[in-house]
Parts: sequence; structure tokens; C-alpha cells
Amino acid sequence: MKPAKILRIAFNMVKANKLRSWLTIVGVIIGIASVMAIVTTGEYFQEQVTKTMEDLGGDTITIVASYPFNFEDVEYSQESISENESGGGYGSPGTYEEPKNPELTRKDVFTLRRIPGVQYINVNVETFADLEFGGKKTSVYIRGVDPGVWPDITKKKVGEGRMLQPGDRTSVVIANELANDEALGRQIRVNQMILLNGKSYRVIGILAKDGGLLGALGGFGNSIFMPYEEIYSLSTTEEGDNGKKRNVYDSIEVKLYKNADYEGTLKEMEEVLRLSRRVDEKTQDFYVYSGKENMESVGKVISGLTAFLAFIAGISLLVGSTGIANTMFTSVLEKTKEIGIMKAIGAQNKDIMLIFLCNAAMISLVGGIIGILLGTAVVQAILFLISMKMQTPFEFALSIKGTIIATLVSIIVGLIAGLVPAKNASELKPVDALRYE
Amino acid sequence: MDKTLIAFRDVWKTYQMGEIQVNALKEVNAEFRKGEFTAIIGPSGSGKSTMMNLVGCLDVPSEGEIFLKSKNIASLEESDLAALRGKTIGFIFQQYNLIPGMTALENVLLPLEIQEIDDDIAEKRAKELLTLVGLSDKMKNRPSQLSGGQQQRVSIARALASNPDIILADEPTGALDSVTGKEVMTMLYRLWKENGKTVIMVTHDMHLAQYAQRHIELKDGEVVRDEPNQDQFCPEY
Repeated sequence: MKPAKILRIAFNMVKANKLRSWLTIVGVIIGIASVMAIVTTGEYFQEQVTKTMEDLGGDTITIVASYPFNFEDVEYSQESISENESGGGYGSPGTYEEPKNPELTRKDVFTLRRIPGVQYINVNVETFADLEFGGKKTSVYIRGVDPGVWPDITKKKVGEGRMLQPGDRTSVVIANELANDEALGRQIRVNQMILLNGKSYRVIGILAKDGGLLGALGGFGNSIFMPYEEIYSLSTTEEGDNGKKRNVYDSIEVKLYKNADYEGTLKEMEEVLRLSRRVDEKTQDFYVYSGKENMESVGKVISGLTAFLAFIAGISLLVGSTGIANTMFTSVLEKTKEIGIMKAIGAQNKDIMLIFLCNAAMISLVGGIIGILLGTAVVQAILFLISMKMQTPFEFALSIKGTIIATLVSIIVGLIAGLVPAKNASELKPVDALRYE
Repeated sequence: MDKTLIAFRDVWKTYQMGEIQVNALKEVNAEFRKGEFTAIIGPSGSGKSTMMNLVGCLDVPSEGEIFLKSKNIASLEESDLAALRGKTIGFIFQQYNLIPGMTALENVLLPLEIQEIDDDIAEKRAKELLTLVGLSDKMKNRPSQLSGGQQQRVSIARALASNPDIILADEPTGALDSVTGKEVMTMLYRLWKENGKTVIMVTHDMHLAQYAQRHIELKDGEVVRDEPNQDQFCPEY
């Protein structure tokens, strides 16, 4: 038979039982659309989380002082205490020593600066303070940074005014959320003065709103960035000192050159710091934290989650495909007599087989096309909702990989599911088929 | 020239019914010649239907040989058999066996489409045949929209579509009332008489058998009588 005739007969078969055909098609549609939606949303989230992690300083390395993990086993000799006293100095000499509070100091910055891969070093001193503006008060988090370095390494962007710059002293940059804090009654604008623990500062810049997941989570909230030197003179409470010692930092941020050997430099940093701080692996009193590892592990979790959800969606794809097989088996059974008639009037096995195969192909193709369209729409709706929640601009996104896999699987499984009953149909003996009622 | 179209040589057909072997046909020998109107008669269970399936190449014998236009059908592949069937034999069934999803015209077109006849020629021929059987105004109707007699006429038109040598009719009036049955029989008679078709009809009805010029009577799977019908009925038309 000519292909056109086979197609027409197959199409008539699809048409003849509209309800069943559509139910089968719906099964395929749901399978494809759900795989597409899940894979695309998963990929989108992965991208967003990665971006957010980068915003949080993904590729910068942070060094903090910390107690050795097993400090109880460590004996602190008199000598090592006096050595370290030059760096910060506390703990009185005696027979029994409490483990000292480890600190990061200017010495560590100098040590790090000698490492070839290091491009920027920023120091952070953090504290909390009371902010007074327009007669109202709120509590804020203040991060003291190196005004000459921080603007270069931060992912934050200034929305109004300008960033900190070298030479700034009583200037601050504030978070967008703080500028619009309802607790203050009115908006803080650039060049206005604010009081921090009673001391006066000029707002020189307001940061742009955080995008992505971070923005959705409220960003950094009430934070203020100022030159770190200022933190030392900022008393936290009315009682006085905020406990911040001059030239002692809460953390050191290091950014490497783009082409630097990341892992190697990380190791080198640890080694030189151990040397200069006279500690070994056991007594190490600092911790080098690299956001990159974190980023990678979060990425792994998300891709694992996506794979798991895609697997679930894949099951619905499989169910849709068995729907095709079921429909095909039923229609072969239902058409047994017609198969007999067609064979009696000269139709060959391959004609019968092709008719049923085309029938299956049409169902899976229609299901596939509608599934892709619906899947695309569903994906966009999901992304639109997400972007509304996160207050980020809506972007069209579609996982090509997910779409291709979903479509291929549905068509291939649909055809295989159609093939077996089609073959059974074609091999019916005409005399048996004709007798079938 | 040998006018034999179909020859049965010691044909056995055995069915396995559970543990019992049933011999539907026992050593049947028969010949059907071109241009003959033969009726295969006998009570139910005599092997008529089995014989009809074998004549129509819908089945192959268990033993013995059947030659259709001097080809041994037992030696043919299913697809060759189908092709041979399509070109040589036109079926008329008791239950019409039209395809319910297709219109009258599409049903008549089907054998031509199977044989890949050009659309124009096929459509012209199908319309001619439907006009011949008096259904020129029902071409777009589906079987469910036609009466039994009309359906059987569509099935006659379909049987004639590929211009076969043999028309094989299985109880062609079995599902029809006597008036319509007569019309259908007259149509078959005319096909034989005027168009020179070979007609083989299977029936248990001796009245119908009177239209034929030759009777083959079966009983318990054996041919008990094979002789010309002396009192052939010639309908008026």
C-alpha cells in the first residue's frame, strides 16, 4: 500500500475512537511536560544558587581565626604564648594556661601578601550598633572593610551614590533594605547623616537590591559597610568598649588572580600561615574557608535532586508510554476482524503492521508536540512565579536537554509499545481474524 | 487451454479441538473451472466453511495440495498469498464484513488502494461499481447508515473492484430478508451470466443453490455429490 493510504487509514483509526486516543495522548503529554518542567526548573535553580553563592563571595577565600579542633590535647608552652603576644597579646603568664583566643592580625596580612597568586586582600571587622536616624532607632550590623580593596572584590553593586574609596573615614555605604527600613519611618538618602552609637557618619552610597535567591531571602538586611579603622573607635554599647582591638581582624578575605592555581594557592596559604603563626596541622588556630567547595557541593545536591525528580517524572513518561501500548493492544483486539477483512482483500502483513505503527506514532507525536508546548508553558509559568517571588526579571528558559530526552523517550517508547501489538496484528491468520467477533 | 482455476488434490484439513482431532475435510478432490457458477452445499458442520476458506486462500490445507491458477498455495509465503488473493478472488461474506469506519466508497476503494492502483483510476472504478450495484447516491454513507441489502451490495462492489477471476460468496443472503436476498442473488447471477465471472457460492439453502449451474455437496467433510444442476434457476431482470 502507498504510504499516504496507510497514513489515512491510521489517522481514521485514531479519529474513530477519539476519547481513547485523547486519553492516551494526555498520558504522553503529562509525561513529557513534567519531565521538561522538572529538568528545566532544576537547571534554573542550580544556576540561580550558583549565582547567589558567587554573590556571597563564591571564589573569594576567607580566613578566620579559630580554636584548634582538638585544642584540649595541645599543650601551650610558655614560649609559644610569649611569641603570640606580639600579635595580639592576652592571657597572663602562669603555670596553667587557658587556650588563648586566636586572632588575625596585620602580620597575617603581610604573610599572605607574599603569596604570588594573591591579588586582593581585604580585612573585615564586624560589630553591631544602634543606628539613629530622624529620631528613630534600629539595630544594625556593621562590617568594617578595607575601603581600598573591598569595592574591588565585593559582588555588591552600588545603586545610588558611590562605593567606599581609600581615604574615606566617616563615610558609610548602607544596604538597600536599611535605606528603606520601615522602622526608621523615612527613607535614608545619599549624603544624609546617620548616628551610629551616637557618632555621626555620612551615607555616601546605597547598595543596589540583591537579585536572585539572596534578594528573595531579604538580602543582607540592616547592614552597613564602613572603613574598618572606624569600627575600633565605635563603641557598641553605652558601657563603652566594643571589645574590638586595633589591628585585629575578624576575618581576612583573599581574592586570587583569575589564572592562579586555586587549589595550590589555597594549600600554600595554609602552609605559610602555619609557619608564621608557629602552629602545625594539629594546633592550627585558623581556618581557611573556600566558598568554591561549598558552591560545588551545593551544585551537586541540586543536580542530584533534579535527577531524582526527573526520575519521578520519567516514571510518568513511562506510564504515558504504557498507555500507548495499552491503547494499541486494545485497538488491535478491537480491529481483529477488520484486520481479517483487509487481509482477505489482499492486504499484506507489512501493510497491517505499518497501519498500526503509524497509529502509535501519530498518538505519540501529537502527545509529544502538545507535551512540548504545554511543558514550555508550564516551565515559563513556574519560572515567572519564581522570579516574582525573588523579584528578579523574568527570563525565558528551557532545558534543551530535558526537552530532547522527554520527546525522544516518548516517541521511541511509544513506537516500541506500538510495535509489539502491530506485529501481533500483522501475523494474525486471516481465517482466524475473520472469525473473531 | 486448461480452464481449471482452482484444483483440490487429496485435500485434508484437520483441526485440533482440545485433545480431539477433527477432520473438517477428508481427501477432497475438486476442480473449479473458469466461468462456472458452482454452489458448495451441505448441512452445517459438513466442512463448507473450511472448503470456502481454502478456496479463498484464507487458510492452507493440512495435507494435499491446492492449486490456484496452477500455483500451489501451500508453498506460497503469506505476503504472496495475500497478493494473489487480492488480485484473483473477490469475497462476499454473510455478514458483509465492511469496515465500519469507512464510507461505502472508501470500502470499495480499499482493495484498489492495497494494490496501489492510481487514485484517479481507482476512484473512477469504485464509483462505476457502486453505480452498477445501484448505490450511486449512497457513496458517502458509512455501513451503519446503510440497510443490510445495501451493505451487501457495497460488499459485492468491493468484491468486483480489483476485477478478480473468482467471486467467492459465503451465504451471501444469510442475513437478508427474502426480497433483498433475491436481489442480491440476481446480481450474482448477472455477474456470472453477463460478465463471465467464475462464481463459487457456499450455502446450506437449496433454494439459493438453484441459481448455480453445478453443485458440490459435502457431508462430514467428504464430497458426496459433484454434478451439474439440471434445474438451474434463471431469475428475470
